[in-house]
Amino acid sequence: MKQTFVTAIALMAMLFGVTAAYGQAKKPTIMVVPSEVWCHDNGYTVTTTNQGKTTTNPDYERACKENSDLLNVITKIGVLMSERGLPLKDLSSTIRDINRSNAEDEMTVSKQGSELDETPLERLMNRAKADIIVELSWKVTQIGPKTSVTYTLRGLDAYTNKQVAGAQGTGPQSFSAEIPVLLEEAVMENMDNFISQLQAHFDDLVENGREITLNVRVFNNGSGLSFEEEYDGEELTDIIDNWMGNNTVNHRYNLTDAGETRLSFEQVRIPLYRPNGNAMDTRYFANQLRKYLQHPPYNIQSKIITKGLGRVDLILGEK
Amino acid sequence: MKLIFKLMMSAAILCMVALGACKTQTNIANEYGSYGFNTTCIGVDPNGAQILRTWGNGINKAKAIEQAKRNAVETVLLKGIIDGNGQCDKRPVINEVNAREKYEAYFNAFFRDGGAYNKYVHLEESRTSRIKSKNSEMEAWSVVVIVDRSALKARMIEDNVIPR
Repeated sequence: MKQTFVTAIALMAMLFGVTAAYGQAKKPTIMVVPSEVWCHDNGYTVTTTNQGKTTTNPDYERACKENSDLLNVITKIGVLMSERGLPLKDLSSTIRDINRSNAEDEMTVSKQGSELDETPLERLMNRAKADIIVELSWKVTQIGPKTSVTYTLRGLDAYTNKQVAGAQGTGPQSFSAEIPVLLEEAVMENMDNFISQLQAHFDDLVENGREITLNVRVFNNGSGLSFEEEYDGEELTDIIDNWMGNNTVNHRYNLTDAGETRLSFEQVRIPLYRPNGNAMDTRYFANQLRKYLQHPPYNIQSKIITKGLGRVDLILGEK
Repeated sequence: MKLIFKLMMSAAILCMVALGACKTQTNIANEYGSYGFNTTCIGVDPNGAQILRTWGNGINKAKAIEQAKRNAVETVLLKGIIDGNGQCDKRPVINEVNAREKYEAYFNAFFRDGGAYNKYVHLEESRTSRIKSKNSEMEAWSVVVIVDRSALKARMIEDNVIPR
């Protein structure tokens, strides 16, 4: 009798287990970073001069080392996200990885010149290979003994840098002085909505491919090559345009700029997987076009320069 | 007291029989009759076959279940199984971009009513329930199926859709 009862319970549990599996979906990988505004307001920036042009970028490494609030806050947001099943990449360990291969990076820069220059955020994205970067900034306001925190969370597509989710608000005034506690109180209300925006964007990526930008340019090396060059009566612009149409998911891309020496393709949707089942990336996609143009009747040599995860330049004319 | 206990046990046994033979049916709101749901992973058989909950729409139950089976095979072949518990193969068998369009004639024949797709999918209803929604125009049915991914892949290689 007892055995029958146990069997019945086991069968019920099995049924519930099966039902619970329906709602789950593949989750995007997230990395939480402080926003540029926060880094600037708190003095965590680094100024570099490249060919006479001065740029100021966030200094993530110093921010992570010197600001314990940042570590606590990133950890707290990370916990809130991982509680909702989102896999995380850790900012601090990614920075350590970058430093470990710093010498190698320097060599790459010197070999290929200023074109390879990447911002610290692009370097982070390249290393972490997260799907979405969550930028966080916050400000603490003190009114008498009470404290409140105003925060902004922005989800950015790691490939395009486009904002795909956002949440902003001010938490209730509290006697607690711990920023992670204040932030948790403030963020909780909008967190589920924020994560559902991230998930919706990721579902779109899975369905329609990742979005990248591809620029095709011509080396000014006196060879006379231009996008108006004709092969079997068809201009090079149209040949490349047709190739893009055949190799983008659902033929989705925009040719936004077509000149004699430059073609700009934006909102290019590349598949998530290569034909052999390995993960596709921006460089591999551009390399397919490079190989296509290398073969007769075109016989065009070209060079690939990647910039971040989602931008690539293909420069025709020479290696 | 004894009689109540006997009645309760009989009810429990009846429940078990219903679950065991399954075919239990859950009705959901009728507005979902024309709605399309994603195929979700439930598990993987030791032989690599994918156990999926799949949905189909049709003018009657038979058409909807046939469509559900077709959707399951199409997901395994061309889309990859993204939803569900993550055990199934997320990569589709065919990774070539816009493959459905490139091999349109082949797949139209493959997926036609009673087409070759039917050899690679069968209903698995011994432990699972069906879900139904019906409105004035359409019925949506959800069933659990087993798709033989390895055999599908072999077929695609044989038919030169994917390289060896």
